[in-house]
Amino acid sequence: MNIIKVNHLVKEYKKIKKEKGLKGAVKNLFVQDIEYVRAVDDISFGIEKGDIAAYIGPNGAGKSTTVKMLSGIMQPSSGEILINGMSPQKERKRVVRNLGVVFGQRSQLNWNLRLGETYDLLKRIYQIDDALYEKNVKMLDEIFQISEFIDTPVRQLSLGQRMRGDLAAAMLHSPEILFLDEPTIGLDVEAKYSVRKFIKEINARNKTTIILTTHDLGDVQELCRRLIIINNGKIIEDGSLDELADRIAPYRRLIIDFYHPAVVRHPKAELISVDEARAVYKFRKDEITAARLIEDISRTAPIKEVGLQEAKIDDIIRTAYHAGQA
Amino acid sequence: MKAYLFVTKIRIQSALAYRFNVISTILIQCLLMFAMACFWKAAYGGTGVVSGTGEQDMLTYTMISIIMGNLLTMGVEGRIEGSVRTGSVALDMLKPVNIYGIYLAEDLGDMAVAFFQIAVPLLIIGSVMFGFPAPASFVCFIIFLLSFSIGYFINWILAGLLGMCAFRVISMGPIRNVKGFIMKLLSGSVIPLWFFPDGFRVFLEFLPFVNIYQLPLGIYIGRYTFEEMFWRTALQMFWCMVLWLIFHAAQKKAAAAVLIQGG
Repeated sequence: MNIIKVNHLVKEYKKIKKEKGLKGAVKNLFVQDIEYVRAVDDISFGIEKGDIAAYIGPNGAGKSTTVKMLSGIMQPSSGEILINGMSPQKERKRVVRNLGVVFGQRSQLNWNLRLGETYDLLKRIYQIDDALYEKNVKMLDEIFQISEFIDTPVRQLSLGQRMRGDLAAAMLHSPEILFLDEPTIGLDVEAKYSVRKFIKEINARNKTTIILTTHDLGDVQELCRRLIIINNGKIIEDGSLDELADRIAPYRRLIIDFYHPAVVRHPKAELISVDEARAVYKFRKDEITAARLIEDISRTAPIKEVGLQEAKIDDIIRTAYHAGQA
Repeated sequence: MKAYLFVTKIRIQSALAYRFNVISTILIQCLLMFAMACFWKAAYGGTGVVSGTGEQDMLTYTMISIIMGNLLTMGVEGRIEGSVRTGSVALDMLKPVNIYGIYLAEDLGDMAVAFFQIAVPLLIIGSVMFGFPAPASFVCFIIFLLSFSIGYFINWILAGLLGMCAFRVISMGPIRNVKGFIMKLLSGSVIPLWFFPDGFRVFLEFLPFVNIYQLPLGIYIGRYTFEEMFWRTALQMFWCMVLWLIFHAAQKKAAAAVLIQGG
């Protein structure tokens, strides 16, 4: 069953063109050059309960606009959104009760007060009963060690601690759906690792459905079973990372070190470079397996060492973005 | 309800973290109080009663008016404008609560802080300088409290309505200052309307602004008979309800127009 359903969603902005200089400013007072821009242009998708989906795209592609409409804080120009069968626009309060949202670039924590104070407020806002609250705080502490800094004023937290604090805040009321808008932005390796661990654990323990927007493809590779790529307001790819790789970049590279310098060709693989005893081949997964290729080559020349390279995720995504633009 | 009360409590706690600007506010307000008192003393020039109000009553009126001014500072206008500009309005709207309820709770918290940090010191200093500004009677004081509360909501709703404009125009520029100035003048907070020519006065008395300052203050100094108090407070409640209905309708429209900046 789809917990999130989006049908033909459109968001159109009115953009007023400003002309340059004083003359233009005066002219604009009387005549306005209005242009309509479609930030989100007729997108449809569904997300199943318990999924982790990455929603990615270049800057300005329409990601945040979609997330804002999904969470009910922005009105779509047309189209339909159903979350748990309810429209977030018509039943905002009921929908957001089951929603946790974290914007990596903004914090919902009260800057002046200790972290725990924000949690106390959220407990009241979401009317979380004591038992559930205790249980969730305990769980979040296990994953995130929030008790280390729960009594520190938020303004004194490091970015990594603040992000942990924000993620924990979004989970206090055990929402079924979590929207994470660039949760790893600006974080160091250690903090990134703990955020990813958090996402995995929350998903595993609570079956929380997670939508993640990010520019960090490491997040995608490690976390997401599903990948939705948006560009210029349109969905250009939707599927698993493997499927996408197979379609966009089905090539792999095989690196072979021979005992003696040798040039060995194979009908199903392209020999890209030869350097002394090292040869690099490029081949398609669907034409020949790596094992078969190695076997064939080893008949001609003895092999000392082999290495296999998958297509890099950066290349796959870049290719997808460009394909979408054309 | 618990959530809104907790917001008020948090607001008081945060305000206590910054104590520096309290002293400067008290100093400026004392100066203002002194200047206004001197103005009225000079204006009366020993004449006993002008337009039905004596000099001592007028001093009381001024002192209480300045104290009220410090309790009636509304954060909601700036709050909405600020959160629209920075985009944090998104975070406010993600909670299963009424965002205006949260803004009101914050403003009530600010008022509680202003009461102890500014109003009480001002009352003490004012009493030392010009004598204690006593209410006309205990009953008048009780009705004053009621009327002040209704006036508070009228003032808050007007501020909230103006604040909502921020959802559409993003930058409010000087509109807020203009509104503040008009309010001060038309509400009788500086000069009671009974000093104005009759036609103009009657016109102003039908606007909602008098209900914020002049009505509670007039009740406080015992200017009105009981019958007058009753009718005027009834009119005040009427205004409060009309404005609340407008607010309620506007709030639905405003939500549809939310522009969220950045990211």
